[in-house]
Amino acid sequence: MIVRSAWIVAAAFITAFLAGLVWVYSDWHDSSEISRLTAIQEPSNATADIITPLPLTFSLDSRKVALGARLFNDPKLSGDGTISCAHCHNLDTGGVDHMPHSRGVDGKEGKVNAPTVFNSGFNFRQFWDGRAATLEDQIDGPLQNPIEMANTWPHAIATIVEDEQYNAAFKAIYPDGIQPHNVKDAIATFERSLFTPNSRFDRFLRGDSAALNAKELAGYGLFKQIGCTSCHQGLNIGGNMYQRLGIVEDYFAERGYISKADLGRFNITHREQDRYLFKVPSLRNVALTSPYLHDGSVATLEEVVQIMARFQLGKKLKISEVSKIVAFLRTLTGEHSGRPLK
Amino acid sequence: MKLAGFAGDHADLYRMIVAALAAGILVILFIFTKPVDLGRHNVLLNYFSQIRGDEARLGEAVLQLNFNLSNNYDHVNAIISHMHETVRILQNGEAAADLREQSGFRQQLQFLDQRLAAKHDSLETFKTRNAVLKNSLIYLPHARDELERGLPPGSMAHEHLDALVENILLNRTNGSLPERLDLDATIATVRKETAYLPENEQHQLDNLLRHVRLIDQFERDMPDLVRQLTSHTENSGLAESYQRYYDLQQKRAVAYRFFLLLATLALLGYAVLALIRLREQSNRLRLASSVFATASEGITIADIDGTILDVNAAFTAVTGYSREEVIGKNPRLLQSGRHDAKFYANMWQSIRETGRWQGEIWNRRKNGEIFPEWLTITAGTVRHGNQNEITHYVATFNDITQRKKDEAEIYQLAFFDPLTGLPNRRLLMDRLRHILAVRNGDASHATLLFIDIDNFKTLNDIKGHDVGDLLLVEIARRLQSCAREGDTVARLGGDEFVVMLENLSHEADHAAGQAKTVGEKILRSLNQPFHLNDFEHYSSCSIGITLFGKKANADELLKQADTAMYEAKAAGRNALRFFDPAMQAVLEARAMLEADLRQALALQQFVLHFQVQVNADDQPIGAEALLRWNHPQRGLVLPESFIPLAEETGLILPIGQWVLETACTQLKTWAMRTESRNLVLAVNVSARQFGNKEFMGQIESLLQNGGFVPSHLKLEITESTLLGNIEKDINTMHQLRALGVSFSIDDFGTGFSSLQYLKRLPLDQIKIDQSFVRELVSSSSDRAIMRTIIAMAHSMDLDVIAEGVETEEQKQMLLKAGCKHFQGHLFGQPLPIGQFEKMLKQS
Repeated sequence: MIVRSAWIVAAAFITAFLAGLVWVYSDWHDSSEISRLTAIQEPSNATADIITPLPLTFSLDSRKVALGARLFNDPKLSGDGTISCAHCHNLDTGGVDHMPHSRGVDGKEGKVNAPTVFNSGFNFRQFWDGRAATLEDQIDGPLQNPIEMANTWPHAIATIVEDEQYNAAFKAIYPDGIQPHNVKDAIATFERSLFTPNSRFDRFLRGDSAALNAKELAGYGLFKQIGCTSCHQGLNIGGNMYQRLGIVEDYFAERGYISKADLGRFNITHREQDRYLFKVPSLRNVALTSPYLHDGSVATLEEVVQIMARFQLGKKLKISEVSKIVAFLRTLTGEHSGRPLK
Repeated sequence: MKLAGFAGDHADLYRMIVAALAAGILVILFIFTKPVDLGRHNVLLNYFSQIRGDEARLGEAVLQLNFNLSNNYDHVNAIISHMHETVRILQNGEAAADLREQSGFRQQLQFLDQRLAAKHDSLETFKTRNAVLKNSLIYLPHARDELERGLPPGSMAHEHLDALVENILLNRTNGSLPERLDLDATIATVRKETAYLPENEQHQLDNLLRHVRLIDQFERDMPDLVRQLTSHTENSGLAESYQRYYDLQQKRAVAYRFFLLLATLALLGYAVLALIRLREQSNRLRLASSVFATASEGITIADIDGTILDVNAAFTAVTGYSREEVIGKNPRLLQSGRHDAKFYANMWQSIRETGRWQGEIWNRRKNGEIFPEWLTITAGTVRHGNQNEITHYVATFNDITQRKKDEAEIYQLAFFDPLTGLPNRRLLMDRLRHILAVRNGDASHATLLFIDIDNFKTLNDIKGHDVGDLLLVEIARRLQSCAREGDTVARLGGDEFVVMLENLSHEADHAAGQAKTVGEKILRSLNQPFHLNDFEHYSSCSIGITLFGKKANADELLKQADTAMYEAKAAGRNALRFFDPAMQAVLEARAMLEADLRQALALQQFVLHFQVQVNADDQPIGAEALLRWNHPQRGLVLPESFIPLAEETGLILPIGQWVLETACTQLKTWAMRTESRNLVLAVNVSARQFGNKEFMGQIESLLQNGGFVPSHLKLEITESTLLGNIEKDINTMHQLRALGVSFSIDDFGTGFSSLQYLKRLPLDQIKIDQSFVRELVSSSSDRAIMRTIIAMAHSMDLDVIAEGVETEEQKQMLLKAGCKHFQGHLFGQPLPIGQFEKMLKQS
C-alpha cells in the first residue's frame, strides 16, 4: 500500500515537473513565433518625395542567394534542359535578352517582352499584367509555360534531386530538402539580391547635387513637369501601380492590331476598366533594357519617351525635350555587386 | 511459483497504471490551466490594432495622393501589403490557430479578407485614375490658356471653353455641384464655335477635350473611391469576436486552475496520509523487527522457493548457524535425516492446503547434534483476486530438548513410583483401561493380582522407613522377576502391589490356573528371606486375584482384587484368594444398606423393641431395649444386619445416641407408673460408642434430665467393646457407675476375655450368651461352661442373666445352676412398646 502511494506521489510530481518543462518550452516556442510574426515590415512613413533612392544594402541569406543563383542559371530547370532563367534574364545585359519577345524551348516565341530581373523584387506585383503577387509565384509562370521552360514541378524536382550538390545545399538550408517551394524561395531570394543601388540619380537624391549635369537635371525637371512621375514614381520609379496603355490616344489603334496579351490586366480580372491595363514598369536601368513596352515594339529610349508623352500624356515633345528626358533616364542605371550595370 | 511472480507483476502494473492515470489527470488539468498566452494575446490585439491603424494610414495616404500632397504610391502599397500580410497571418499563422476554430471569428476574418480585397481593388483603381487625373488637371488649364491665346477674347468659343474648363475643375473640387454641365452639349458647342480654327489648334482642342472627358469620366467615381479607401473596413467585429473567445478561454483556465488546485490538494493530502501511514508502518515494522530480533523462538523467513531470506538471533542460538551462513540457502540443511520423504511431503501438503503446519520435528544443529523442535510454518499470502497467493513462509520454532526432558521426568513422576521405579496406580489404571478398551473380540483372559505385604507396618515401626523402603525395592524386583515380559507390575502405594497379566488362556479355568501359578510363584519368592542392612527378614504377602474377560470396569476390577486380597488376609495371610462373585453381591448389598442407613435416622425408621427379663418366679424385672430398623422395602431389619455396618461407617454414634435417648425417655415414662416403676432397661453400647469421648457427657446429660433411677439404666457391653484401650474403658466405667448407671457384660464366654480383665471391670451383671443356652440341653461342655460362668459370677458377686431361653427345660437347668434371671422367647418376644406394656399389665 505504502509503496503504491509512494509510486503515485513520485510519478505525479515527476509528471508535474515534466509538464512544467513542456509549458516553459511551449512558451519559449510561442514567443519565438510571436517575435517572428511581429517582425512584419511596418509600412514605411509616408514620404513627400516622388522618387526615393534604392537601399545600398539588403540583408538576405547568402546561402539561399548562392543556391538561387545556381538554380537561376541552370538550364536543367527547363523541360528539355536547354533554357535557364538567365536565358531570357541575362544579368550581363541588363537582366533582359534584348529581344522584343523572348524565345523559349525549341525557339518558341513568347507573347510579351521579357522585363528585367534587376530590381524586380521591388515591384508591387510580377508580370506585365501583375498576375503574380510575388517573385516566388512568378516562377511558376515561366517554368511551366510550354513556350518558355516547358517543365513541370515534379519533373523539375526529379531533375534537381539527381544533383548531389543541390541535395547537400538544400539539405543545409531547408529541413524538408528539395521541394518546389524551396526552389522558388531560393531563386526568389537570389532575385531579390539583384538590386542596383547607387545610380547617379540615386546619388543625386541622396544629396549629391553634382551627380547630375544640367541637361540631366533639366530632363528630370521635364520628367516631373509633364506628368511622367504620376506613374513612374516611388522607389522603383514605376513598378508600383497599373496604368492603361493609351490614356489620351489609342495606342493599339495606332499600332494596328490587338493580341490577347495586349488586353493586359483584363485577361486576369475580365473587367472592362482593366482593359489595356499594364503594370507600370520600373525605369531603373531603363537605358539597358531595350526594346521597350510590353510588346517590345520600341527599340530606343527617344522613341518610347515620345510614345509615352503622346499616348499617355497627350503631349507632343520637342526633340530637345526628349533628349533631356532621355539624358535623365540614363542616370537611372545603377550598380550591382559594386559594378555599374552594362 | 511462476504464477505468483506474474501476480506480483500484475500488481505492479496496476500500481503503475494508477500512478500514470493520476499523473495524466494532473497533466491534463495543468495543460487546461494554461491561460491564453499573454504574448500571443498581445500580438493578436496588436494585429487588430495594426489593421485599424493601417486603414487609418491608408485613408490618410489616399487623401494625400488625392489632394496631390503626395505623388508616391509606394506608401499605400506598403500599407495594403501589410494589411494583407496581417490578414494572412491571422488566416494561417500559429498565433490565431485556436481562434480560427471559432466559427464567429472565422466568419469575421473571411469578411475582413473580402473587404480588404475589395479595398485593394479600389486602391488600384484609385492609383490608376489618380495618376491620370493628376496629369489632366495639371494639363487642362495650360492647354486652355494656350488654346485661348488663338481665340478672340470675349468670343463665344472663348467663353464656352472657359466655362467647360471651369466647370470640370470646379467639379473636381466640389463633386456635388448641382448644376452639372451637359458635357457633350458643351463640347459640341465649343467644337462648333471653334470650327474655324486651324488644324494645329484643332489638334490642341482635341487633346484638351480628351482630358476633359478623362476628368469627367474618372472624376465621377473618385469621391466614392476615396470614401471607400478612407473608411474602416475592420469594424472591430474581429476584435470583439476575439475578445469573447479570450474571455471564454480565461474563464476555462480559471476553472481548470481551480480543479488543478483541488487535485493537487487531494494529492498532497494523500501524500501526507501516506507519510503518516508510512510512519506508523515503520513504527510497526520497527516493533516487528525488534520482536523478530529478540524473540525467544527461532524465526526463519523463506521465499516461495524455500530460500531463506532472513533468520533471527534465536535461530542462530538454537541451530548454531549464523545469519550470513543460511541466507540464500534452503532450510533443508537443518534436516536431521530422522524423517522420511513422506513426512516432509505431508508437511508441505498441509501448508499448501491450510496455510499452516505445526508439529514436532527433529533437526540437526551446526555441530551435528540432533535436537527436537516445535515448529510452526505459516504461509504468508497476498490476496489476489478471489484466491490467496503464497508469497513467503515464516517458520517459528522452539528448541524443545529441555521440554522433552522435563516431559519425560514428569511422565516418570506421574506414572511411576519413585521408590521402586514401578508403574504407579495411575499408569496401571491407564494400561488396564487400555486393555479393556482394546479387548473387543479378544477371547483371552487377563488378571489382576493384588498383593499386600503382610505385617509390613510392623517392620516399618520396628526398623524404620529406610529399611521398609529397602524391602519394598527388593519386593518390587522379585515381583518383576516373577512376571513375564509385557506384564505390568505396579505399586499402588504403601505395601500394595498389583501384577497384571495379559493374554492368558481363553478358558476361564485354565486362565485361573495360570494366574494361580504366578500367584504361588510370588508367594514363594516373597517367602525367601530378605537381606536388609545386615539382617535377615522374613516376609509374606496376601494375594487377591481377579480374572476378567471382556467387559469390565477398571476400578471395579481393582476393587475385586482388593476384596479377594482381604479374603486372603482373613484366611490367615501368606495366601492367595480368587475373587468370588457371590461375595461381591454381598458387598454390593452392603453398600446399598449403607446408603439407606445414612437416611434412616432422619426418616425416623428406627424403633426400639423391648424383650422382657424375668426372675425365677417369671416376674418381670426389666427389659432389654433392642434396636429395630423399620426399612420401607425390607421390613423390620435386625441389628445384626446393620450394626456392623454402622460401626464401620461411624453411623453407630448417632444411632447409639438415639437409642440411649429413647431408652431414657421410656424409663422416665415407666417411673411414673407403679407396675413399671422398678423395671431395669438394658441398652446395648457398642465399642465405638463407648470409646467416644463424648459418650460420658451424653450419659451425664440424660441422667441430669432425671425422671428415673439411674441404676435402672443398665449399659450392656460386649467383650469386644473393651478390646480398645482397656485402662481407659475401665476408668470410664467407674465414672459412669459413680453416676449410678449399672453395667452388664453381654455374650460372655464367646470372646477371649481374660478373667484378669474381667475382675477389674465394675460390672453388675453377666449375661450368658444364647449360644451356650441353645445347646445347654444337648451339650455337656456347654453345660460345664454355663456352670463355670455362673460360679465365677457368684464368686465375683455379680448378678447373672441368661438370654435366649426358649424352653422350660433350659430354664430349670439354669435355675439349678444358680442363674436367677432369664430372658428369651419362653418369657416374651421382643415387642414394640405398646404390646410390651400390654403384656406387662396381663402378667
